[in-house]
Amino acid sequence: MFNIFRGLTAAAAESEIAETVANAAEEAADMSIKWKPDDFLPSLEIMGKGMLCIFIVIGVIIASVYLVTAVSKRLSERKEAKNNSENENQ
Amino acid sequence: MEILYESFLALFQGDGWKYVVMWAIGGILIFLAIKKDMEPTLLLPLGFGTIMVNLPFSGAIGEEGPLTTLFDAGIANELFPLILFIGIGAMIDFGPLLSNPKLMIFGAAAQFGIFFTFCLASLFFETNDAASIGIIGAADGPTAIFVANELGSNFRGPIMVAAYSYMALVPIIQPPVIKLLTTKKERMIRMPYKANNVSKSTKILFPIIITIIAGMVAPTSIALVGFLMFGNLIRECGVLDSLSETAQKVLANLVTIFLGLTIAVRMNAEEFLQPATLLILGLGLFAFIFDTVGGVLVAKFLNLFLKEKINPMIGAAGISAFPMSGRVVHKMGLKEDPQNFLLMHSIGVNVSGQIASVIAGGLILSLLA
Repeated sequence: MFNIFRGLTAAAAESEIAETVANAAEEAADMSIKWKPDDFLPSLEIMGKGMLCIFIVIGVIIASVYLVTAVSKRLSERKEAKNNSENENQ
Repeated sequence: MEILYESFLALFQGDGWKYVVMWAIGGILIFLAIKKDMEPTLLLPLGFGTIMVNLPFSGAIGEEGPLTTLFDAGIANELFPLILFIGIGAMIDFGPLLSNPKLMIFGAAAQFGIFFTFCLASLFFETNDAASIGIIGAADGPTAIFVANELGSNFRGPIMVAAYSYMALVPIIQPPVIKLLTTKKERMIRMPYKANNVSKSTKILFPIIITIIAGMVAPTSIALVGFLMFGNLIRECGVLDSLSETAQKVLANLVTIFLGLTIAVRMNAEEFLQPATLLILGLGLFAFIFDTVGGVLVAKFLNLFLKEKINPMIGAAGISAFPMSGRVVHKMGLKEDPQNFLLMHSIGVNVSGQIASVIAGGLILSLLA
């Protein structure tokens, strides 16, 4: 019984090693470094677009925050003025 | 006994030495986490997970391995980083930023390193891998994991190690770069802080507005931005204190444990011990350096037109390594002039970097879609 167990364990271990090596070989092929100067110019274009977009988005967010702050301030001033006039009337 | 024999044999056959090297790498990460206090919440589980994954015939990985199961459940579908973002959003106070919103421009500028590194990496890697390497410059672990997974990068392991290691090294990386780009006179520019009261309505509307704007521009960023802003909303709404506290502490800690441990699935010897790993680590450092360069140079450029000058060092705080980068800039300011308190400005910029890095991640995904 123990010999069968040993045999099965050894066989399982061997097949697992073989599978790991095969997977690694397949994956290793995708992980090599290649010199690709042709991709540099298109990537510069993406860089330009990316930086422009991020500045535009942040600009819109800044403008929105100023707008919300201004509206919020005006509303609270009106509310305060209304409360003050109510207190005076009383 | 047979298994023990087979395991030892595996170490001495073929590429078995790689396992030992990965144990050493795991040990180094654990050492850095404990002894040097470098991002211990991530580096310690990552280091330990690396050891677990690189033991011969490891039962922690594979079809029935719990780490692989967790990886498929939370990393492969980007769920863990997004849930962690809820916790991060709940921790952030946007008050200093909202009292001076124009500081957000430096958050945008400090994402320059992402795109510049992407360009450099594209000379050596496929576009999806180059973009995943560039996103190390986001200085934000969840964003890096999200983008690298979404793009199906083959280098997730080294990218994670680079992102988290360099985040912890910000106090070492940034100061020399800042000093190189600025004069002593510039570093001594004082920026008095005028505390503008930020209304509760503004703090509540801010995360909603950010989500809508970022989502309209880069729909692929909605998950990233949305989860971060949701976390912030439950903090600021004032009626969900228990949820906010849970998100900040329990949720963030729980997900961090799973994240650190399961990302180690990509730290197997076959994937990590490649010549590309060294190049990725180098490019990651580049990304952080050029983030700093972008932020400082934009601040110096704006000073050409401003009457009330900005201390250009605060541009460097736009990197998303919160709050380390903000503190680094504040300390550098105090060193030059003990009366110059830059903390509120630098923290405001630092927080804007968090938003900008997430938007940059979404833009990268949109531009490469």
